Amino acid sequence: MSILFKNVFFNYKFAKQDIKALENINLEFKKSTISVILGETGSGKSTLLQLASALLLPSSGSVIVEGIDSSLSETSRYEIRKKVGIVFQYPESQFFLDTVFDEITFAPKNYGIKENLKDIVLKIIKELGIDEKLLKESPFNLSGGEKRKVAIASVLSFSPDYIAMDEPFVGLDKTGKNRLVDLILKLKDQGKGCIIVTHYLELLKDIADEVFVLKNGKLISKFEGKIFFELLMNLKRLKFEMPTFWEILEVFMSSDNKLENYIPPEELVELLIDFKKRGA
Amino acid sequence: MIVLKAVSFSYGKEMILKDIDLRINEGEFVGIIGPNGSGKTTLLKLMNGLLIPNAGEVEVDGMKTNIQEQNWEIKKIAGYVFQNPENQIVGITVEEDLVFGMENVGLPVDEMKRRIKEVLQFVGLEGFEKRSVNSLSGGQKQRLAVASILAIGPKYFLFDEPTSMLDPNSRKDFLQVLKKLRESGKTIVMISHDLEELIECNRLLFIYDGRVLLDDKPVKALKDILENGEMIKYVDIPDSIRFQILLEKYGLIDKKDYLLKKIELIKVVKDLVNTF
Repeated sequence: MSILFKNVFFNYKFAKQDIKALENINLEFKKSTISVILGETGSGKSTLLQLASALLLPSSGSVIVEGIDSSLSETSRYEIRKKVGIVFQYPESQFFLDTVFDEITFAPKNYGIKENLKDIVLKIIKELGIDEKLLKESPFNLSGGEKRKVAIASVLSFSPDYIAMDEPFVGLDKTGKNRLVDLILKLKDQGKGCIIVTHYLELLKDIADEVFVLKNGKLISKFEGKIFFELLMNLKRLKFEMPTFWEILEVFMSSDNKLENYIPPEELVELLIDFKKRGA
Repeated sequence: MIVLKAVSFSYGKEMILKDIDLRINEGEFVGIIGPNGSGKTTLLKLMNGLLIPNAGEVEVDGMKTNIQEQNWEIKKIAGYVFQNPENQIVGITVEEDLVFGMENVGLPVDEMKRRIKEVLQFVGLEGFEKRSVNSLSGGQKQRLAVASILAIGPKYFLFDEPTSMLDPNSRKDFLQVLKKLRESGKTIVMISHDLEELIECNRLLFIYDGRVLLDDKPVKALKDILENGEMIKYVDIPDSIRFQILLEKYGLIDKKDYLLKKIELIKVVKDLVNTF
């Protein structure tokens, strides 16, 4: 079972013209897998996530979630939305209630989950590092990073099978980012499918099982993310602006072919010291 | 000069900033870092009078943000660029968006025409006058937001995480614009979670729990943060910067009082590998 895109096209109308947002997309997002989507702004990444969660319907082709075709009926779309939670790029665009607690519990209530709501909320806010005293605050009064965490919490609260996140790391500080990385890995271990749009290439080495690259609405590349050197070379081939330290590692890897995995600066400096000793 | 004198700010009962004294000199590039909810955005919004302090005073070139007529003048010389450009783009076309701000400050039509051409060239969007703002990419929108402010002719630019929504290549284009702003003598105060963007700043401020805990040259501030168990929890020091600091610590390169740019650091490593 999976989220399957079959020959998916998506057009939207602007100034009476059809604009192609996605063209002939064929791909599969699986459970227990972290799939990362990369691409320039406007390449169709957010549209792809909204198609996966049946918020948009394909202009042609089909999106099939766990055997349910999103084009079939309103009931099928309701079922898909229970299975695929989406965290939007701009968290405030999904808030509409008075308090953080109401916001986080809205979806589970809507899907008929009535018991243990308080426990569910407390567990999630602990995992995400949201201060309990914020539960009574308006979500609109929070800082940018806190808003994002609440947006994520309001999706995790109804425990969907797949979680699609659009730039979830934006605005998070180091602790927030680390917590979210740990949480995504945990969700994968629990069997969830995580589909993540991000432009933080540094985090790919920590989370990506597979990487999909979109350009101008087309899927131009798909590759595994588990072997760091391959990931690095694939991104370089596609002309991504690389993190500085990755380019440094590449210099080193090119001169010492045995090194395949990412090593942190501390280990690279040790290797350099070792090199120097041997050289001397 | 932007001067904050004993400034405190609260939203309701929640105290966000506590007794801040700070001075931003003309021509400086000042970076602001700190954990979520520490008060960074509030601090920036106080600097051009988008927010008014509950206690203390903010002065920009001698004018006070809490005096209404002066607040209006301050907004002309200190422009605020939001994290999300959608929050400040108001026109349907690029040209209309640029005209909006200039009309507000009463510029004559000929001068507006001249400035439109000039600022679009500055941000690398020449020829985009008639384009619909909806047809722009996120990176182009962010550069349009800068152009709209630049058209009004401010001395001070206040940036709130301007690159956080941008893909790596758009970010690179934006940083080129930032460099040009600095070269043209503008004063820049910028919040970022990405320290690589701030390595060339003159001063780095670390805000924590409503206070300025550090205010120093970036290399000095980052060394302090690395050695401080509490602060390092909140600051994502990029691998490349940690790498430079370690190379210096173990004597592989000479100690420097500045941070190396990407191209310089890669050259250092190539030289080291070749030497051994």
